[in-house]
Amino acid sequence: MKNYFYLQLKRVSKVLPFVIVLTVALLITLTAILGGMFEKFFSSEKNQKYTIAVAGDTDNNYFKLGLSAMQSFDETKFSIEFKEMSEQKAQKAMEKGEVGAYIIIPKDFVENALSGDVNPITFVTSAGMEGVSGLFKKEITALVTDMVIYSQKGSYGLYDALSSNGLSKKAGQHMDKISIQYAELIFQRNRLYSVEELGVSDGLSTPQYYVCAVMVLMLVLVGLPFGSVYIRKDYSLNRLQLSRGYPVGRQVICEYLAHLIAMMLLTGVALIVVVLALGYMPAVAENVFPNGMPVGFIAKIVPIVIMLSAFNMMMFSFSGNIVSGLLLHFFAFISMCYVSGCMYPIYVFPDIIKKIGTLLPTGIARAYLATSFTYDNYFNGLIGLLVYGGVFLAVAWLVRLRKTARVGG
Amino acid sequence: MKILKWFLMLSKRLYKKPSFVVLLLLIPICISAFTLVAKQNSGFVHIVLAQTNSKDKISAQIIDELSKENSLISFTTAPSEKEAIEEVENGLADEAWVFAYDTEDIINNFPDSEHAISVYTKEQSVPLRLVREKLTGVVYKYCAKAYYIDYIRANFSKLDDVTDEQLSVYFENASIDDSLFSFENPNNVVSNGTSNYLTSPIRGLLAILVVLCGMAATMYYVQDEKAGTFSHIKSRYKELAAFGCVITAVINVSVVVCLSLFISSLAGNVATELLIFLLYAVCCTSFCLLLKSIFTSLRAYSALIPLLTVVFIGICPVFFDFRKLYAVQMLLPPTYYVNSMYDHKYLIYMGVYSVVCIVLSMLLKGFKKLTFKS
Repeated sequence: MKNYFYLQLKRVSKVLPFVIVLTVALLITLTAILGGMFEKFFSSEKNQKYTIAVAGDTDNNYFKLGLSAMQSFDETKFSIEFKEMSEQKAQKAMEKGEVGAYIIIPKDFVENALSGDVNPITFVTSAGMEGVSGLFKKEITALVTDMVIYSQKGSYGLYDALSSNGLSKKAGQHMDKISIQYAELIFQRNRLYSVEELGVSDGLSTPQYYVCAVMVLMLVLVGLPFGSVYIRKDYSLNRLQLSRGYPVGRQVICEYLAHLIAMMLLTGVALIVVVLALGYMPAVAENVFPNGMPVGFIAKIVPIVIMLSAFNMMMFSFSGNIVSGLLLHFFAFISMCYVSGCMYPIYVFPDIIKKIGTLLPTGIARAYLATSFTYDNYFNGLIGLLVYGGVFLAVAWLVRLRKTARVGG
Repeated sequence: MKILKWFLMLSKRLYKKPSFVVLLLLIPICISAFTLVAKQNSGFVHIVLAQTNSKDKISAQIIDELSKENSLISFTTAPSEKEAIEEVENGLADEAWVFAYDTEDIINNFPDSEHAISVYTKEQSVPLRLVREKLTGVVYKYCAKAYYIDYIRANFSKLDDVTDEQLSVYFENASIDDSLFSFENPNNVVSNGTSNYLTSPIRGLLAILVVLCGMAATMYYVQDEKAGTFSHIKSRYKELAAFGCVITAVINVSVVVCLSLFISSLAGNVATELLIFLLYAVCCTSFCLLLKSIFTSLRAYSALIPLLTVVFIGICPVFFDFRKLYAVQMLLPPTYYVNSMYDHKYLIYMGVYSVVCIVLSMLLKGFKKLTFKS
């Protein structure tokens, strides 16, 4: 049996150097993407601002004054930055990602609005995959729409109330007066609420959440290249081993152990790269691991690797050729990781998906890894991972049993 | 006819393996199920709402109005302030909006009185600031109305006989055009399903699946070539055989992917979709064959798969479109697939990209032969 195990180790070691090199490259890529996202979205609120270009008829003095007031005094100065430019420049800037969206002010917009005739402003977002500005376009425009509509209702309502009750001479003057007061009211709207920042206690900060999610994602992915070692059409060697008294179960265990050793080695390399990379990104390190990388984080990766190695063995055992093997593995990887919150945060999904996601092996793995930040005792998670690992190995054994018997028969 | 014969023969190799059939069946089942479930209530940002005084009418109306919202923000309610805060602390919600005991009075007296709502947030961020604008937008309508009545009461004693209800009628009946904004995109494309943030990455993820299918088919071809399966083919036709093997697998998966998009109502115009898929199949095949020319070792090629998967997911416009990485995006096939649906000039780019990959692949082969001879 030892010989079969050594043989598996030898086979795995042929692929291992390539996989290690690629894992390092993978981690550098992931760190660059995550670091870039961190810089863009989480490092400071200034960087998170949405930039919206303003094009069209922006020459009116009232419009310029309004825009300038919004950028100087209004609450929106913390979330949206407006940049005036021509429509062509705005479109090019959106294509380059310099602005998230642009608005086109129709000709004589202010003059017409003052006479009660509002021509719609065009809000242009990119046609393809929507950015955050595109996703929040309804929220961004609803803000302006609600304020304008209800201020106008107040102004016109006042005009109508005065006109209908014999005060039409004063109606116009007071309409202008209340309009200005409404503008003041709008600028004070943030006084309607107070904000208390609770900080992160039991929950995770967004960067910490993504570190756990990406770690699971990476651990599932690095198993893919081993498909070229374990996916096979010909089971004659296994049949020979069986005839020599080595049962299929032991063969699967030997292959699993060899794969597990390789996966552990890869994880070790991955952690070294992460620690080194964090050394170059102190801002990210401070935010994700404020007290240094917890030992629990490293320890909790071990049962995840045990489970995922068994998952890989099962997926490889299903496949008869490299095409179906890799595609099935990828399809399972992408479906499980997506649904269990490794790409979008889990709370953005409908309840039923949340429930399914938390029960999937990747969901348990992500939640289990997250407890290294929250210091929760998630014993059920550990049990879940080990049970999944056992089930995957049992399935791999059953499939192999069937395939070996079929080849033999 | 000969091409069709080859296509059927090469496809048969794939369908002999039940796992390939299972995969093809799984694609439409999973996508349809997910699309169906994604229509249920969900939100990008989760806000929990709570009242401290259940008898307060305005806060009850605001909560009712927000809970009926169908947007990126998911609103739920908590029975008390304590439980709302706990949800934020436990990471179950992004923010808690707790309405004060005397919300109605505060709104009626605004701006002389303030803080009708206490916002408890996990961490400050721009999306959450924008979401709070939703709150002020909803509350503002009550403030605007109360301010209008106050203004009349303070300035026109002549109207003291007119009740608040009568004054409210003038406010409500003021005819205002509420279509202040119209939405557009540069090509005025009406996209199907892409407006839902949960289903929008599906097209991109399926595009990645098709590229990986091409890569796996390339590996399958290399394995079979080494085993002598294609030994009867003349060496000058070997590249054509490789192209045939890869594109056969890619087309088989593409057809199923295309059908899945139609079944789950995520596809656009039929003719456009078919044209995109046909061009994309050629694009993926040429990309995979170019990679094969660069990475001749099967082990190196297989080890490349996870790296490329991450690069595809992270850089191509699958989840978010990082336009600043546009130059890198243009090196990767899924970018062309995702963008060509919205901007048809990418169909031409896709064709050019395929030709460039094939030419580069041939040049590399030629260069390797030359260096080998010398």
